[in-house]
Amino acid sequence: MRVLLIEDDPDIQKIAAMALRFDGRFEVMQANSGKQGLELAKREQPDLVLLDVMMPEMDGYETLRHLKEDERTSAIPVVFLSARALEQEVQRGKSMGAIAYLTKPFDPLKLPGVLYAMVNPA
Amino acid sequence: MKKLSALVGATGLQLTDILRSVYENSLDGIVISDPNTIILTVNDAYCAMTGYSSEELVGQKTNVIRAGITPRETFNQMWHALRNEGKWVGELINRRKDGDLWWSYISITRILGADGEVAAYVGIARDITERKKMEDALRDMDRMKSEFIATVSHELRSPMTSIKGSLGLALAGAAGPVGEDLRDLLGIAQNNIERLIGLINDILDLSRGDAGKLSLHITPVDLKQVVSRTVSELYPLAAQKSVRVAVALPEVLPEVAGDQDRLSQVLVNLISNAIKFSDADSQVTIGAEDTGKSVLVWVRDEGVGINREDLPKVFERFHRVDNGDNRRTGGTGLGLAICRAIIQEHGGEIWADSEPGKGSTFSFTLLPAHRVLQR
Repeated sequence: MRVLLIEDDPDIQKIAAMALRFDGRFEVMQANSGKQGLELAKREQPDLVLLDVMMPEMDGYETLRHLKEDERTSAIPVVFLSARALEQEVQRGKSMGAIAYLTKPFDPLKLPGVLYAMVNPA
Repeated sequence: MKKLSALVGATGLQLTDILRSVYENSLDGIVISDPNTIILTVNDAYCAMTGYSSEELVGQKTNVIRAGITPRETFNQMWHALRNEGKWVGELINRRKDGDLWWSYISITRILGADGEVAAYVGIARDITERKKMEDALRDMDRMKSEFIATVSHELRSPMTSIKGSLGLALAGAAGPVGEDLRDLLGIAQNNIERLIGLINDILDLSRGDAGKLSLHITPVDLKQVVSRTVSELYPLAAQKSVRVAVALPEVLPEVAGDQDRLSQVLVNLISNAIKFSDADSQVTIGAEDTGKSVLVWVRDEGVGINREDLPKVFERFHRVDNGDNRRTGGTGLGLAICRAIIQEHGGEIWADSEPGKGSTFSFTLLPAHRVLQR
C-alpha cells in the first residue's frame, strides 16, 4: 500500500515513516510541506495521504481542500494526524472530507494496522 | 408595618425622621421621580455616583444618566414589572457627567397615591462598576487559562510523539536487536512517557470540564456493553495483580443517556483504581441497578479503603489518598476529578463510600435514555 506522508516536523516524519516501513505492508513517500505534498499526490497517486494539520504556509486543512478540488487527487482518502486534539478540531477535520482524524501522540506499532484497515476494510 | 411602628416607638423617632436620615446619609444613591420619570430629588450619594449636582439632575428625566448601551429588553422587563408588580431590580449601564461608563444595581419601587395612581418612582442604586470589572477580568483570565492549557497541550504533543514513537520502534526492534538491560531502560522511559501523555490528556479534559466544553455526544447507551468492553480492556491489569473482576448487572437495565466514550472513560478510571488499590486474590465487583429515576452504577473493591476524613476530598483535583501505596499505584490525582466533571455534565451524581481495611465503593447515577432523549 502506498502512503504519502505530509508532515513538517522532521522527527515525527521519520518516526511515522519508519513505523509504516517496519510494518512491511507500506511504501512511504514523504513531503515536508502542503505544497510539496500536493505535487507528490498528483504525480504519485498514493492509496492514502497521512496529513499533519499545523504546518507553516499551507496548513493541513488548506492542503486537504486543494486535494479535494483537483480531480486527479480528489478520490484519494486522507487521514489527518494532528496534535490538535480538541473535539471541535476533530469534527472540523472530518467535516472537510478526511476519512479519519488521528491525534498525536500515536502508537507507532498500532498506526500501520489502523491505516491499513481504513483502506482495506475486512 | 406593626413591627416598624414598634421600632419607631422604641427609638423615640418619627418614621419621617428615620427615612430622611437614610435618604441623606445612605451610601446607596437614591433618586425620586414623578410618574413621568422627571427627577424630583436625589441624595448626595446619587450625585457622587453620577457626577452631576442635585441642581443639574432635578427637572431632568431619569434617563439623563443612561448610556444607551443597556439592552432594550432590560427596560421592557423593568416597565413590565413596575406596571404589574410595582417593583423591579436589575443592572443598568450608565454614563457619568465626565463621560465614563458605570454600572448600577438598582431597585425601583412604584409609589401609589391615595387615588391609586402612580405618584412617584423611587430608585435606590449601588455602583457595581468595580465588581463588573472584576467579573470581566475573571472571565478574561479564565479564557486565557483555557487557551494556555490548550496551547501547551498541543505544543507538548509533538515532542511526546517523537519520544513515544522512537521508544516504541526501538523496543520493537525496528533499529536492530535490543539487549535485556537496554530493553528494561527503554521500557522505563516508555512507561513514563505514557504517564506524561495521560497527565496532559487529563489536564486538557479538566480544562474542558471547567469551561463546560466536554462536548458530550449524548445517545442511548447500553451500559452492559460498555461495562463488558471496559472490563475486557482491564483484564490484563487485573491478571497482573491477581485480582478477580466480577460483573453483577441485572438481566434488564434501561439504556442511559450518555456519551459512550466518556462513560467508558469513567468506568476505566473507577475500575482501574479499584484494581490498583486491591490486594492479590481479592475481588472487584461492578454492579448496576435501575432505581426508576436513574440508573445507579457502582464499582466495589475489597482493598485498603479510604479514611472517613478523606472521602469528601477524593474527587478534588490532584488529591491522592495518603495510604502509603501511591508510589506503587501511580496515577495523576486527576482521574476522579475528571469522572466527576463527566458525570455532572451528564446530569448525574458521583460519590464514594468506604470502610478502611474493608474496601471502597464508588457509585454514580445516570439518567435513563427514555427520560432524556426523544426517540
